[in-house]
Amino acid sequence: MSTNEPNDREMERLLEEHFASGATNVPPTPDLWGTLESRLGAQDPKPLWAVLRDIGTPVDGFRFAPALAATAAVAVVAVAGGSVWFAVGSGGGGGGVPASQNPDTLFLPASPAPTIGEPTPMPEAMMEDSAGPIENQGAAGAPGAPGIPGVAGVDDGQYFAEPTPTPEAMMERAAPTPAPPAPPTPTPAAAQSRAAGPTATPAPWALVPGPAAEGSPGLFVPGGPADAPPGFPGFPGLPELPPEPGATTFQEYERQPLTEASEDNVSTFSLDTDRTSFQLALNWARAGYQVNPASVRAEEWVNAFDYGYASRDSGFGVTSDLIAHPLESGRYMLRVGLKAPETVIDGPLNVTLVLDASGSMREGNRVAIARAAAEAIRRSLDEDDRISVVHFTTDVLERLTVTNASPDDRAVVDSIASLAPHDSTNVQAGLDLGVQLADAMRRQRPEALNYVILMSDGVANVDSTDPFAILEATSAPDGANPLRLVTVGVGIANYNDYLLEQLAQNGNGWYRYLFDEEQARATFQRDNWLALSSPVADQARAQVTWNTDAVKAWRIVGYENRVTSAESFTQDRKEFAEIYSGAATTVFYELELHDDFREHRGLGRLEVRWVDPKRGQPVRQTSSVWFGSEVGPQQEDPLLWFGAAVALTADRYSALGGSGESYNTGRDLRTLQGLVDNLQNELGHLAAFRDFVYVLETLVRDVPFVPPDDSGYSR
Amino acid sequence: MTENEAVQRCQSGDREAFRYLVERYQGVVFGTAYNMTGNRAIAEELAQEAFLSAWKGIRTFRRGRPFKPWLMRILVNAVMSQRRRRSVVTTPIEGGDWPGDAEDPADALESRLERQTLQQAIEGLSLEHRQVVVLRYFAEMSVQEVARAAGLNEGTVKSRLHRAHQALRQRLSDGQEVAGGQR
Repeated sequence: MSTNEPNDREMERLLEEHFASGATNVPPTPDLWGTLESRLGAQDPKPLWAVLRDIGTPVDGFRFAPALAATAAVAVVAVAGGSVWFAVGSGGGGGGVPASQNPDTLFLPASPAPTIGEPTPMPEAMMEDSAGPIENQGAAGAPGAPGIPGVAGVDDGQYFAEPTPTPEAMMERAAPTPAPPAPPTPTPAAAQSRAAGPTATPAPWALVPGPAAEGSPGLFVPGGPADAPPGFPGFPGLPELPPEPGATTFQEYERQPLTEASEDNVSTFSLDTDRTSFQLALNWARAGYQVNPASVRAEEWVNAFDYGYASRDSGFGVTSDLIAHPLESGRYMLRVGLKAPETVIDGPLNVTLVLDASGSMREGNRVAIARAAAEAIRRSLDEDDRISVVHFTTDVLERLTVTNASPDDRAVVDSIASLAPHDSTNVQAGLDLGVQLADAMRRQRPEALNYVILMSDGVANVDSTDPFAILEATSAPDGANPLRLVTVGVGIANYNDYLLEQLAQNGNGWYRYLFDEEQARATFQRDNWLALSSPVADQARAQVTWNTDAVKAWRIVGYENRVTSAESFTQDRKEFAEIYSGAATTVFYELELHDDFREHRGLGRLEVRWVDPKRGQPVRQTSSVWFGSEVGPQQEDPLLWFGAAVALTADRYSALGGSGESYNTGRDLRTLQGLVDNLQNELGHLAAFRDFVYVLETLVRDVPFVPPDDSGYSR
Repeated sequence: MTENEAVQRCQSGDREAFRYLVERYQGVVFGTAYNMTGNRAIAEELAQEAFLSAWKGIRTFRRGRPFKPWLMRILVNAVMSQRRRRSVVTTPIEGGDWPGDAEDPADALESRLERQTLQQAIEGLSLEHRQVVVLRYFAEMSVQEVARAAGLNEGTVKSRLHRAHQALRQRLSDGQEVAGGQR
C-alpha cells in the first residue's frame, strides 16, 4: 500500500482539479425549494432511542443529567395498587429488565447454531432425479405457473380489507385492563428440550409498557412516575411513541448463519404452511403497535402469500428460481416452492372443539371471533361427521361439554353460542379432556380423521404454561391415524404466540390467527374447511444438498425453529409439518455462487420426505434444484421478487430482536420498500400486496435510520 | 442563522429554517446525485427525495453533529434504492458543452480530451467506487464523512478510494494509448 501512496496523491490532485473545474458538466441546480415546499408533509415523531440519546444534551433549553438515562432505562411504577414494569432498550442489544427482576418475563438461553457436519458428497449420479414411491421427474425445475396470484392457499379470506384498524384492534386498545397473568414457569425438562425459551416482553429493542399500560400509548401511564424528569416522554411536549401491548409471549430464535458449502452442504428443514406471524404483524400494525421482532418468523411471512405454483396429481409440484440479491451485490436468492396436490379426502371427521372461556378472552372481541370460528366449523361438517365441545377456564365447564354428537345437534349449537369469559386459564385441563374425547371418538370410528381444535389467546396461567409439558401430559397416542391438534389464536395483548405455535407444530397440526369474525367465518367456510381437513402429507420435511461446484455459501431465510439436523431427515417425527390439500411451502436461500455456476448441471438436489396419511407409509421425492434463467427485470416475475422482498423484510426485521443493528435494518427496509414500490403496477390490485406494503411502511416508520455514531467522541 | 439553529428550528417544524438548509445544500446534493446517476431528471428526483426524507426524519438527527454527512447518507441510500429500482447508474453522463472553449483551440482540445477521458473513466467505475470518489472529491467530504455518508467504515472507504484510483489510472493509461494511436 505504501508504494502506491504517491500515485494516490497524484490521482487525488487530478480528481480534485477535475471536479473543481466543473468538467463533470453538472447542469445548473434546479430550484428544489419551489418544488419541495408544497410536498413537505408531517414530520415523524422523535423515536424513543433518539429521546434517550439526547438525554445529556440540551433539549429545548433543558439539560438532562446523563444519569437520567440510567433512570430511564429501568423504571418501576406503582399504579393503582399494582406494579407495572417499564423496560427501555438502551441500545446495542442490551437493555431491558433482567428476567430475574421481572415477574412477567422469562428469558432462557438463545438457541445454539445448528450442528455443522461434514459435507455430503455430491456425485454426479445424485444430480439425477432418483426413484421413490412418488417421482418428480417431469416437474424438476419447472417454472412457476401463472396461477391466481395473491390468493394465499385455501383460506384466502384473510385478505379482503384495506389496512384499517379492525374492530378487534380498536376494542383491544380501549378495553379495560385485566390483572397481569401469573409469570410463566417452564419445567426444567422443557428448558432443556429447547435451547431457547420464550421471550416474553420486555425485549431490548423497544419500550415495553406493562400489562396495566395497555391502551395508554406512550411510555408512561398518565400521571407518570413521581421522579420522572419534566419533558420526558409521556409528558406534554414530546411526541407519543409506538407502544407495545402487554403480556405477550414470543420465542426468540437465532437466525441461521451463512454457511460455507465446503464445510456443510446440506440444509434440512420441516415444511411449513403457517402464516400466523404475518397476520399477527398486520393486526399489530393496524392497531398502531410496533411489531415485535420476536414475533416475526420469516417463513410464515413468505407463506402468507400465493405465488401461483403448479400442483401435481400426486407428490409435490417443485419450482426453483434464481434472482440477483436485492440487497447484497454479488449474491443471489434462490426460491424453492413446493405445492401439495389438491386432493380432498372424502371421509368422515371427528372434531373436538376446545374453547378458551377464561377471563383474558374478555378483551376485545376474542370471544366473538372464537364463537364465529367454532360455528363456521360446525356448519362445514357433514352429517357423517362427529363433534365434541369443551369449554375450559380454571377448569373444564362440564355443563357445556358435548360429546360425540352430530353437528346439527341442538346441544352443540347451544354450547358454542354459550361461550363466554369466566376465570383464569387452564389450557391443560381443556386439552386433557379434549384429547380424551377425541381419542374415544377415534376408537369408535377408526376410519375417521381426528382434529382437536384449540381456540385461545394462549395465556395459560393455571397448571402448566409450557407447550411441551402440556403435550407430554396430554396423552395423545400416535399411530397411523394421529390426533391432529390445530390451534387458533385470537387477540393482541395477553397473547402467548409461543404456546399456540408449539402446540400445533408438535401436535400434528397447524396454527392460524384470526383478527375478526368475518375472517373467522371465511377461514372455516366449507370449501376451505374441506381442504384444511384433508391432509395429504404428514411429517413433511425437505433436504437440499448443495452442489459445491456451483454453490460457495448458503443461508436459509427464516425457518429457524424448523431447521433440523441432516441425520433426522430420515426419521418420521411428528414435529415435522402436516400439509393439507393444495398448501404451498416456499423457502428462500441467500447464496454465494462460483463464477462458473451456470456451467454446472444445477445448484443441488432437493429431497422431500413425508408420511402418506392414508397408508401411513413413508414417501420420498427428489428433484434437481435448477434455475430456469437468471431473472432480470422484476416485471418478468413480480411475485418472485415480491416473495424475496417479503422474505428479506421479515428476516432483517427479526434481527432487531437479537444482535441486529437498527441502522442496517433501517437501510435494508428502505431499499426493499423501493423494490416493492416498483411492483405496484403489477401487483397493486392484490389486497395481500397492499397489506404487505402497509406493514412494511409501519416497519420503516418504526426502525431508526441514522448512521452509527463512529465519531470517536464519547457520549 | 447557523446550521445548528436551523436544524433545531426544523425539529420544531419550522419550514423556513428547512428552506435555509435546502438552499444551502441543494447544489451539492443535486450535483452528487447527478454524478452518481448521470441523468438530470433522476438526479433532481433523488435530490427531492433526499430532502423530503430529511424533513420527515429530522427529529432523529442529533443536534450539534455535522448535518451534511447525515443528509448525504440519505441521498446515498436513495441512489442505491434507485439503482435497484431502475438500474440507471450505468447511464452515461448527458452530453453538453465542455468549459474552457475560450482557450487556444489546440490547447483547449487537448485539455478537453484529457478531461473527457478522465470523466469517461469515472463513469466507467463501479457504483461502489464512483460513490466514494464523488463524495470525496465532488462533495468535498473527508474520509470520515464519506464513511458516515456511505455507511462504511473508514478503512473500507480508504480501500475503495485506493482501488478507484488504480482503476482510473488503468483506464487513463488505456485511453492515452488509444488516443496516441489515433494521432
